[in-house]
Amino acid sequence: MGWFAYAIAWLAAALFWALAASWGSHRPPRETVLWGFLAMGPAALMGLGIWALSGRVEWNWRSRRFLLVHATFLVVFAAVYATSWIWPDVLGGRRATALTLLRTSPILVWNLLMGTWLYLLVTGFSYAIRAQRRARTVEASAAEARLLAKQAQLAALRARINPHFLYNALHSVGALVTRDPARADQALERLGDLLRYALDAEDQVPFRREWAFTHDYLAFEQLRLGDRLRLESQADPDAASALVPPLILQPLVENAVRHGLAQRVEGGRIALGARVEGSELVLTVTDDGPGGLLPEDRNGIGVGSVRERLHVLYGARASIDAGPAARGFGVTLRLPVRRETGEIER
Amino acid sequence: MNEVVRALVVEDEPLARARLRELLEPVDWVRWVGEAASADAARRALAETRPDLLFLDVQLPGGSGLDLLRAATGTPAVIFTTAHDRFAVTAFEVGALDYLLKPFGVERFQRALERARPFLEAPGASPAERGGEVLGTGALERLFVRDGGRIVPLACADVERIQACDDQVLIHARGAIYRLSVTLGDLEGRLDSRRFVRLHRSHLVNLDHVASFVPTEDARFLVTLRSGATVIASRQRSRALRAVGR
Repeated sequence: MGWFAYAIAWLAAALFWALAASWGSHRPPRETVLWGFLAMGPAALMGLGIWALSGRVEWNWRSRRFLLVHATFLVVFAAVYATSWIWPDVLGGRRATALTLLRTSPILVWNLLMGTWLYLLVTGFSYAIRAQRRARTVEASAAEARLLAKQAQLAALRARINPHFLYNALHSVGALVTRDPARADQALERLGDLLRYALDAEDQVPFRREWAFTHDYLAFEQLRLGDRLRLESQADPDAASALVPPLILQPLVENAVRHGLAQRVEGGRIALGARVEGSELVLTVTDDGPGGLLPEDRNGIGVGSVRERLHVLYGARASIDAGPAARGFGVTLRLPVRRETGEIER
Repeated sequence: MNEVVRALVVEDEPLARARLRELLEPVDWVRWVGEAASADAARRALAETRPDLLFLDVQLPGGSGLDLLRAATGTPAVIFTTAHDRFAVTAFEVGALDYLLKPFGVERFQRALERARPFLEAPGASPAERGGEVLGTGALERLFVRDGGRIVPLACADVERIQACDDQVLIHARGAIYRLSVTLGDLEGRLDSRRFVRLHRSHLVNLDHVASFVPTEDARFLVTLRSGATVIASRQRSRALRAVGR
């Protein structure tokens, strides 16, 4: 479609040229049409070269390369354009006639100016069209990113806090009500905190809040599973103020509970770790379950959703590594450290 | 026959286990005879205690509660206790009496027990007789359907007609419509064929709920149900119905 428009534009230019020539030379337009095509045809072909050039040389007034390349091509373009009408004579072996014609032509300078003007015009259009296309692509990927963020929010409400986690947590609290009212009371408070954290749609939170949430979450799983769930956790004080996307650990912890120990009669151990290594925050979730046995299952929705979120937020600066660990299964997250002030540490 | 119903609790969560025991305490016609926290322990407890009633969590460490049932001999009546509603279809496949969706408290627990009581105390409903239903050969007596936030049992006798809808069925019963994730063909195979008949490709009716069969001019039957609903039988099925009527 673009090439069709390009051809039409040059066709119009050629006809306009023919009309102007007809007025200037007092000849009927049908005789000057050929001149029009002779003048505009080479220009149109060279225009294709300009289009290609605009894709290779970035638009930048201050770049010497940009200026040099375009100055060179402008001279060539204008020269070819201004001399194109003598080519039939040259190719027909009448070189002397052609040169005389050229030398005595009253419009040579005018043609050079016209060529310059055409070059600038085509160049301007080429860069403008490329800029517009780029803008459209950027807009489309921005829209895609927004959509992903929305989907992630929705998933946070449903998948990250698995409704069955809530049903089971409520059932546990119900069991505590008569047996241990004080603990039931405390558990309800915690459940409130947990829900508030999960439902607040903040983009980034200090890691200490994510850490506290993860422990609250696991406290409910411990309430449910009793001593079958054993927890070890260790965090660098340094990590506390680093900013992280909320609920980034939860899917991994949920996986560890579900696959690492819920299916084993004797239960198991989950180890959480958080440390700062240079400019990276390193988070680990390890369990001692049957890690090597179920690699596909273990890499399922939890790891996938975390990976996708990290990719949208940090691109290549964050990574997630999941696989069998020394005993069981381990996931390691690495994300760039941002402090609460908002800067990225170098 | 022993007047007291002997109940075994199979549940991996300690608190939920204690809770069930607590809920059973004031019920004088049911006696708690033991509990198990894993599939293996449950197998042993089943063999040892031979309970009449089993409270069963579906997801257990070391295996699923359903495999447990299929493998068990002298199957007891079962009430499911789980946070997942997706086992409702399986629950009726194994002939469960009820389906308690977590979280549940005293009220729902007692309602489920009261609903189960006639089945448990009926002399005909011995575990051996239910065996056929459990093992997937006998006709089902009840389905489990979603009703708001709960899963409730629905006696097949109350079902008026069943309509296919994509890969689900719509069950018309007691003036309401319940959705169930099972195909009409699968469901038909598990229903009493003397009671439920196919009227056409996507419709089963319960003969007990039919008010009249009226032949139409093109040799089909217009079936009117007691609720007032009407279904026209296909030509092929109408022929079969005539054969039955003879």
